[in-house]
Amino acid sequence: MIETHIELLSSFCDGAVVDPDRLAAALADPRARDALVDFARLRAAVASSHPLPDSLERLRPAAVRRPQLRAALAGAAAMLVLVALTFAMLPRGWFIRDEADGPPPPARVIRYEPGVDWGPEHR
Amino acid sequence: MRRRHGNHAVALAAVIGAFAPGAAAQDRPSSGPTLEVHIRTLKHAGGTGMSGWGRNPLVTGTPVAWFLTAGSVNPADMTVCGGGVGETGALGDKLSRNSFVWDVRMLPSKYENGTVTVDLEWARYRTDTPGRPSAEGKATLSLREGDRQPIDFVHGEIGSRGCAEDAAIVEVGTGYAEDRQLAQSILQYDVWLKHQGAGGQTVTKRFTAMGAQGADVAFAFTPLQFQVSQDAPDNAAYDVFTTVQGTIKGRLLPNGRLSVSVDTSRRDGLGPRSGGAGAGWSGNTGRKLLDIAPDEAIEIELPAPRGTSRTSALKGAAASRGAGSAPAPTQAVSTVDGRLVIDHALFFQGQRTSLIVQVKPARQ
Repeated sequence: MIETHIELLSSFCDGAVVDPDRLAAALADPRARDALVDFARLRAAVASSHPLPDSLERLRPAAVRRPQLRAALAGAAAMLVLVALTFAMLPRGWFIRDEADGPPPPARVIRYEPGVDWGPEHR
Repeated sequence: MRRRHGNHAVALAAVIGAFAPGAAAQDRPSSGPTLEVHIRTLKHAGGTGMSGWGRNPLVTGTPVAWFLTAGSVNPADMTVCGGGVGETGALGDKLSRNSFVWDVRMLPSKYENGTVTVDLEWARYRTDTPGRPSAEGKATLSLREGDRQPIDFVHGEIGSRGCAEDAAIVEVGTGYAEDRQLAQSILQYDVWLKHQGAGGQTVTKRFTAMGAQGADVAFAFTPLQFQVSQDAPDNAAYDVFTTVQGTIKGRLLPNGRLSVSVDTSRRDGLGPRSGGAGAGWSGNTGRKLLDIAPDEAIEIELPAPRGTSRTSALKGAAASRGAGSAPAPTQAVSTVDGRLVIDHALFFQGQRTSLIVQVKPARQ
């Protein structure tokens, strides 16, 4: 029964419409009254706030969201990604010419053998 | 096997299946080196009339034989108009329907480093003198892939029907039947010429090209130039030039690897400093066959030349080459009897010239 009185008072504090007779009965319950006082304290604690100091009075207001600017930024980011991908797909030799022109390290080294597969050229 | 007459290619049913998966060809490889015969006629007014060819897989120890014919339009006229190549039939039957019949037989005895050694026997018969060959030959040939060797040439009559072709040429040769799945492959070739001087300095030149499967791709580099110190103030300014060029040919194999042949020639000699490589040079050539993975780089060292290059030490004189009969020089560069002499072995001592080859299938 105590729990019911407390719940009724909680609902009343939250703005619900309650049965006056049942409210009266709840208020007659000492433990329910204590709970009501606790509700009041809790609300006071939540609602109370100190005023801002003078130094913060001129805080710039929150930036207004501008959809056009956001779209432009997204477009620019997409362009950057596209350019980066394009460059990544281009032949490497376009950018690192010296390295591209140099031979790779050979996996094997062989030799034309004179008298075997190398001989005088006839002209 | 097929023949062509004018612009029309006519397949011979008896031999068209040489590389086709028919019943008669099931035991034949689908790709690989081949032995070939060719016949073509020459027009009076210039150009080629009829051309035909026959092709069989090259299998060491397995003989191949063809009949080549010319003058089928009217055999009695002894012209060369009309004809072709076939594997089957009898000589007598062929002679009854053609003015000229060649019986060509080849027996490959060795296939090594891309070169086949083949025993050749051939005979030419005429329908107006049947029963004995009017010409014949026998030889042992060494043929590289793609080589052709003319073996006979015969003149024909104009004939009653005004044959516009007056001669026929018969050739034997070698070729290669490409794998059907890979025949359309395109390969990318990267070839570097690298020269390391005696002091360790390196000069590198690069060649890049693409080519079809099994097609020759010629490569060449601008000559390497080596300064020659002059012995006398009135010497003309000559340098030693090294020219490297050649042909590279690759095939993508079914296992993903590449079969590559590299034919290289290296010429070294004197030339005017301002005029590039001159007439005086010593040339060597060679072929390497490689089995490589795509993108695998192989370095092939080119042996330094031997012999000498010599020229007049006076301005305006032409260079010459060869060992000659003059005494061997003891210095890399010397002047002997008014001639500038380069001893190649001494001149290139401590230096190293090589090719680095890299092949891969080109991206689609």
